[in-house]
Amino acid sequence: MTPAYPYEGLTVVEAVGGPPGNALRLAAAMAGRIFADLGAKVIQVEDHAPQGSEAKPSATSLALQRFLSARKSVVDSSLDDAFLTGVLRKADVAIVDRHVHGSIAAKDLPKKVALLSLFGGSNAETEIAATEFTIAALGGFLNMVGDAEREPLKLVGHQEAYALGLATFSGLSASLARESSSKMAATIRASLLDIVVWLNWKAVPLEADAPIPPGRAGAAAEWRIVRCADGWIALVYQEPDWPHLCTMVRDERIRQGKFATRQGRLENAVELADLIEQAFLSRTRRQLHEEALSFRLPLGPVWAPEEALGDPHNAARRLFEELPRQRQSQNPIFAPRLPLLWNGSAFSNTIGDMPVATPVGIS
Amino acid sequence: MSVLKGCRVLDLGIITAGAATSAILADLGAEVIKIESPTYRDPFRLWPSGESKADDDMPPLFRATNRNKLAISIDLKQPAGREVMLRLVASSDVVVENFRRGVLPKLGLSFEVLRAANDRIILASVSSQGETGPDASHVSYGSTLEAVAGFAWSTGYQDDAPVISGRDVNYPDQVAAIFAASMITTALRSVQKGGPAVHLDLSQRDLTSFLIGETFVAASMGEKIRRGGNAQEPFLLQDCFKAADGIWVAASVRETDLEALSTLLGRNIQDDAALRDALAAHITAQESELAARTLQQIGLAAAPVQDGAGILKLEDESWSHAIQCFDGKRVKGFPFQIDEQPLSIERPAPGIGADTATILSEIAGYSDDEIASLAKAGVIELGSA
Repeated sequence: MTPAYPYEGLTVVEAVGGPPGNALRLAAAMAGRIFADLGAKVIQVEDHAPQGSEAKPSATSLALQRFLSARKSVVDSSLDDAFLTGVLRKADVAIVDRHVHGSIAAKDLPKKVALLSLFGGSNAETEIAATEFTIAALGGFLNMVGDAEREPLKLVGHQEAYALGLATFSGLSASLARESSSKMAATIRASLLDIVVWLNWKAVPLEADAPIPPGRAGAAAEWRIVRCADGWIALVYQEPDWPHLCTMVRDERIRQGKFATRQGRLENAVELADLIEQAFLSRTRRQLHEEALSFRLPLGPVWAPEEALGDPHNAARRLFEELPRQRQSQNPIFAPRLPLLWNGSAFSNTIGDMPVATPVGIS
Repeated sequence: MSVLKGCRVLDLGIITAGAATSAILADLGAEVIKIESPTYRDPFRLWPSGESKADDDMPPLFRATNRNKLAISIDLKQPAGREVMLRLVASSDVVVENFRRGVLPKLGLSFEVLRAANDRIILASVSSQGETGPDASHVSYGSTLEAVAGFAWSTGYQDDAPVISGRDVNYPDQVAAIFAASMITTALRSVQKGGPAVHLDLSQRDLTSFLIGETFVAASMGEKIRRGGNAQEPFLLQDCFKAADGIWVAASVRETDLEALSTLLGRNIQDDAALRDALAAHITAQESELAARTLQQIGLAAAPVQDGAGILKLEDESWSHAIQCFDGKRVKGFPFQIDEQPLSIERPAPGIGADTATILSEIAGYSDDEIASLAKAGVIELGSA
């Protein structure tokens, strides 16, 4: 019988230490969540021993927990006791940090092991205090976002840890893909700094004599956010889009010679963005979106998360699903499903503990 | 032996998301054949100047994301070109594409057609907004998707406008490649175990929303979603401060850091404002490397914000595989590494149609005369190897 779920029958154990919110714990949780969505039995082993503050968990940490722990078994255990060894002996895949990796005998680890670290290279085994934020600094990510004259800016949420989680899952899934290699031992090494540098590859000079690519340009950036009547819209375009953008703006000043070439537009980027913003201030995001569509322009209205939850496109794709209700929860809680349709079907994250395929409409 | 050795991928991917997806598969050992057309090139071949370059002078962005691939040039708009493509599909495992929605079916190469040619084929459609839904045909780039996915709303300085990652990062394009490659390898497992052909609908917009999943959970719990700059739980303070040399230093302060920090700074830190003032004063008074090092020495996470040159200085010491050197030039490296079956780069990015004749002869079974005839009719393009 053809398995409906690619990882049905597979047992995955997450065992990564550190305080709640630790980057490697979040990365392991993301990788584990994808395995769980795709049918694996995922056991998230966490040491719930008190770590500093005993304050009640915040809404943010509860939201993180609900999102990342969906469909997993969460077990409270010390990360160096016999229980963990017993669980790992029965697992097919382990996602661990170097402390767990070092404390478990090799014979007790499954064939497929993902070993996560904050740093790669010779510092992979070194104890250096670091967070997603400071790794984003070292990987140049912070240098790329925000205004040039203001402090560097992080992206929302946990992008560094989640990207590491995607890379971890990617390495493990590759090692499980083919019959010939699925039975072989595989140690996947994924470091937070390596993944940030990988994501930020365009910041590195690729040619020996090339200049260092510039960092964040803020208001002078070619792509940026501008205001409109009811919020903001992302001004994103390429060279062939320029004539259409001129038509859409409906202000003849945009046709001045100084804006005619890309070089001219870059040199006068702040003035150009101000001009476009003035033109857009009388139009709503929906109006601008419709106009952008008619001109085939890649402008993007900035939707708030609350708006995205009810957006017609997301509704048509059933992107958001209600998580199983907890007794104390009065309101439905929504989270995005795994961002994949497999022959038109979604892998639901919402129905009980067992994976259930939910067909979604195909027009 | 590499994990995907023996797997063949037909790569219709262009620019970043599609081409980088196939590049990861190539690094894992798959045979990846980049398919272009006599009338249509990967736009990365022309960036940033807009001019076509000689094969030995490829634009760095193209070179970086297309190393490790073979190349063939087929005019898929001609019936004979479509026939060549389907012959290749018959002996391949995966097709990757990130064209505008509708282009592949219009070429007569819908999933149903590919499946008829090979009932074990995997078609990975790496699109901006997915195969379905009212916005499916909208033109967009990565930062467009940050806006519509709810991502840009929450990125930005406190009480100021939303911010996008912008043209030089284009964040959704980068993560899409890792996720798409992993779903392809997952589908390979399914087909290997006897499952049917798979069409993967991989929407970058869906992925961008998924990567802020907790934000939607919080919003539906009634939390007001605001932009908070660099602040983040569980840190008492997380931000960047400018050092004496003009370089920014990033720091994340936990509650457990306070005692040692008070001792280091010689101040009694009473509240959040005092903490910010004390840390800013410490960093402003020193060179960035020294300021970060003194904080590191008390176990506090701190680091200077690096530019491209600074990133390279940390190679081997703090990162090892993200950027690789091949033929003396830097190219995109690997998002992870596998000890027992290492990812590696074996060949440079190919010229247009560099392997057309070899592939048609050895994989599709065309004779030399047939190849010459297809080339004369403009169905294929024979590049210089």
